[in-house]
Amino acid sequence: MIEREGRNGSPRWGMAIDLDRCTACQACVTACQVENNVPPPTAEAAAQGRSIRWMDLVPHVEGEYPRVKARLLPRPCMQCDNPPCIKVCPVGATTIGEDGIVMQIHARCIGCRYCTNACPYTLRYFNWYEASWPGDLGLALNPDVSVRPKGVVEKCTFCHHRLQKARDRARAEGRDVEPGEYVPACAESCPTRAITFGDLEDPHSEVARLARSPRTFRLLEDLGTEPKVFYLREG
Amino acid sequence: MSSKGPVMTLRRREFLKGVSVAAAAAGCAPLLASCGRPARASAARRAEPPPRGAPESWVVSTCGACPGGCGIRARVVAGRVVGIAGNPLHPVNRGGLCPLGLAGAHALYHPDRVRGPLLRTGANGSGELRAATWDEALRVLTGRLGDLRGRGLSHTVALVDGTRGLSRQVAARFLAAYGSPHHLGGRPWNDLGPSEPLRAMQGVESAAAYDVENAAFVLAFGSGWLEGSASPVAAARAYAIARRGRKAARVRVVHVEPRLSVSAARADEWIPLVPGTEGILALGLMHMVLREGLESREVTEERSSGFEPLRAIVLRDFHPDAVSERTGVPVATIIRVARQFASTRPAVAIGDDRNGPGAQSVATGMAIHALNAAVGAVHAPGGVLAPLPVPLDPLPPAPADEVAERGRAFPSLAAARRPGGDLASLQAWLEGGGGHPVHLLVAYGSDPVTTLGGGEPARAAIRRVPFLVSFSSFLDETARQADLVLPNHTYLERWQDDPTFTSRGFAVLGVRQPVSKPRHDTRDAAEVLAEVGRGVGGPVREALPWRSFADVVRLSTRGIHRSGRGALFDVPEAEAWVVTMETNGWRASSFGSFDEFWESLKARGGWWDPVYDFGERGRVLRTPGRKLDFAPLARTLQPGGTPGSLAIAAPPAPVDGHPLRLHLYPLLAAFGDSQGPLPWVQDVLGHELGQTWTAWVELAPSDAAILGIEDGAQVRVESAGGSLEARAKVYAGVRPGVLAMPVGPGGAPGATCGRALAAQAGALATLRTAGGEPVEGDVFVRVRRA
Repeated sequence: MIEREGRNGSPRWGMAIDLDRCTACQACVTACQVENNVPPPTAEAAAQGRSIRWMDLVPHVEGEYPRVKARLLPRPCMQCDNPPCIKVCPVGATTIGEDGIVMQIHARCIGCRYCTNACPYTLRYFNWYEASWPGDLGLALNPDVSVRPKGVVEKCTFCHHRLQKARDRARAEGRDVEPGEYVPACAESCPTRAITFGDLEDPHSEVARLARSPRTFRLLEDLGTEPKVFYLREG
Repeated sequence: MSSKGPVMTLRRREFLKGVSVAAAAAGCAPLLASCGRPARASAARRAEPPPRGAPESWVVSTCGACPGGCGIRARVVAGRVVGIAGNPLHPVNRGGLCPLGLAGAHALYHPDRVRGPLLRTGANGSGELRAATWDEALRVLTGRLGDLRGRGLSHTVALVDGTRGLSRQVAARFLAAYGSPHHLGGRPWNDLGPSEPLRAMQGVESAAAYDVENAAFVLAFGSGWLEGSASPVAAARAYAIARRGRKAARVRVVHVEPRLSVSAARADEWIPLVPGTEGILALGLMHMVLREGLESREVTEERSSGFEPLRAIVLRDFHPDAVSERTGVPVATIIRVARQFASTRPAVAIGDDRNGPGAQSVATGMAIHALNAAVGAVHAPGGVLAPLPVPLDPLPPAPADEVAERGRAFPSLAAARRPGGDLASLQAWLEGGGGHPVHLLVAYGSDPVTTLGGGEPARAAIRRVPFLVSFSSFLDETARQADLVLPNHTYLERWQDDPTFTSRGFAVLGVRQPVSKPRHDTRDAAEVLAEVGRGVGGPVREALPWRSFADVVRLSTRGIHRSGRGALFDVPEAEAWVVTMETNGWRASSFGSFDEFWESLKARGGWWDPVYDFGERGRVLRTPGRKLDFAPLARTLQPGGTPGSLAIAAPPAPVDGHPLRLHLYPLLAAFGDSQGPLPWVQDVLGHELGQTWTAWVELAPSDAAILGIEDGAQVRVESAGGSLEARAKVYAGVRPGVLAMPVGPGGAPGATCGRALAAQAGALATLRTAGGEPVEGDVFVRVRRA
């Protein structure tokens, strides 16, 4: 197991999602798609399960009437500290950075989808269809994020482009990036403040505090992937 | 390819043509819609990215995708809107947003936008429209209006108004000066329109605010208070605060609904019941509260009138056994929930204040309000509040001449106050119940055909009007039938005031300012109305002298400036300061001069007043006796009383061969200002049930097994009124005996993105009884494989 502490004092970015606050409104899902220029699918592609949702709301319905329970789980990339995906990439298109973000280099990706299969959370998406935005919708694209071609894999990057912008700004002003200055689109848009984001290495940060909560769990912990997304139980 | 080659090809081509013609002629929108096509199949061009280093700014405005009024910040690069985020200073959403608001730029750039005025060329209701110039379009409308007025027929003009604030006042002024009494409310289904229970029982014309943030127990009746209430983002925020965001104990939420909606899934307990019996359950709970002496004395005895007769009826008729029989809720549950509700204070019951298909009846709303009163939740912290109005300066009274006076003297076609709202009255009037014909109907910020449920009955009713005008930015159902379309700017392109309130009852004024230049040849609807008025002449010209609606908005905010109350939007921590100052009698000194105030108002996004005076009963009890009046509710409980009554007598029996009771419910992202279906919204709608990009209906596994219907099968749903096709979702979260169907503005045939989202609800459901009550729960359908 890889112990991943921030090297040279670099931050280690993590996320906490409070399931007791979440109302499953899917603002996080749409915020991510709009921010990251994710191409909308056709109805046929959506029916085939090829819709790309870096942040997804995973539904799970169980039980029989009237004791039915529906759970709805917002699920970004887990940004594992011990990611299975980077181990299988034959061309080094996906790696983990110093600050813990599992990066995706689209230009290198050959579309073999080994990483997509290796990920136990099925949160990696292959571009099965050419990106297309009808009419003038292409004018609304975010200039900070590249548009991926058909045939490469993409996934949640904790809005890494926002980190780069924050770093650039901080560097230009001769200071460090301040807490709260770098926030992914999902956390920013969440109306219930269910999503908290920040530096896990900072013991005073909200996300570090929530990661230590007794209500906290992670997905598929027994696999040893060491996700940096922490869920807080309802109730 | 073979010797039969050309013949084969011809035949195939004919066949393919035949298929596409047949599909169009079938008249129903594709069930599986799509959004664009892969690049190789279409000529869709990829927009060039903006040049590096292009000027970038953030413009503060107010979202208009739904009536919630969240504050937004739009990121504009080289004149393009490339991102929308919430405004952290706006008290309604504090920086959060919902899928509709986030995808707002897609509405601005949508390929299906109406690009300029349109005039009908084909048959009435055909949707065949041609482009026209504004000059021509305005001449046509001015000509017709002038002609009607000249012939003394100004009272035959009606306007369906889905706007609020100053836009609404402009329309009111226009009609008053023109000489028509028919200013009808046409709000979208979840708008912050007046609450009927508040009107009937408190004499107050106001929407209801539910102070969930401060409640210890929330009992929600009906569909989706979290997804589909007046302001979904505000509801979600209040929910989260009540769960985790306060020092007081975590709120307990119980949700009563025939199906397990997202709101029900987020509750601690889901109570399924027979559709349409929410009011009966509310009275059954009230019965237990009264029997066990748990009611709040100060409300039921001191400040109420007519409570004793109501008490007698409830205690006599709404015994848990009888209520359980009607609602399907077990007796033990009724007793337990009543005890919990009444003893976990502050407790609040949330009714479903929507109008439109599947809406709760007024009687149900009153029963729920009475339950609130019984536990002391009316005008109390954690309860049901009447929000404060925004002190904008109103427009001065409209001038009038003889024609105007005569026209206004006719009774409004909405005067009968039908339950189901003004649109139900309009439909009834058009179908022959009215005193005089309607020669011209204006849909102003509204889509009457959709709000009436869509489908042929609604379309046919509206088609009876010889001249229909729509101001919609998209070809919604009403616009497609219109004789004249005068497209408004989208909300990202226009000025507007957005008066609203928070769940704690605080008055809020959001300012909407253009984030983008107009993309097409559209015009501000209020300005167009003013120009038409000037064309008509006389008092109408005098009534609407302004050229710029922005000026109207600006001048009206003088009222706020003068009042000195409240504060400009600020960080949450500033609230305490404002409250302290104001409750101690200080007036805001931070407003500065009016010009400074206006500039700050635009920069911050708006103004609010975070003070709600619970001692101020005079404002919220305006019945003649200044008391909470239970008599209107008691009247509906008389056996054989008003239709849609809650009398405990036997329910309508299923019609032969139609065993399932229809339950209509709204979807979060399907609300809005006739936005035109947005691509990402299609991917979000129905996602929790695996039903994106399609129209669907839900049935219980037991019913599906009996009917031989598998999950995902195409089915035909038939009622006495009509039929439609949809995909079946077999869902354990549906009460057996119920067919649940989502409703929302659907995709038009030929729309770039969208689907027929059961906008044909009107085809299935007779939306009103003869007496005008909405009929949630009283429509029966049968389902079979298509």
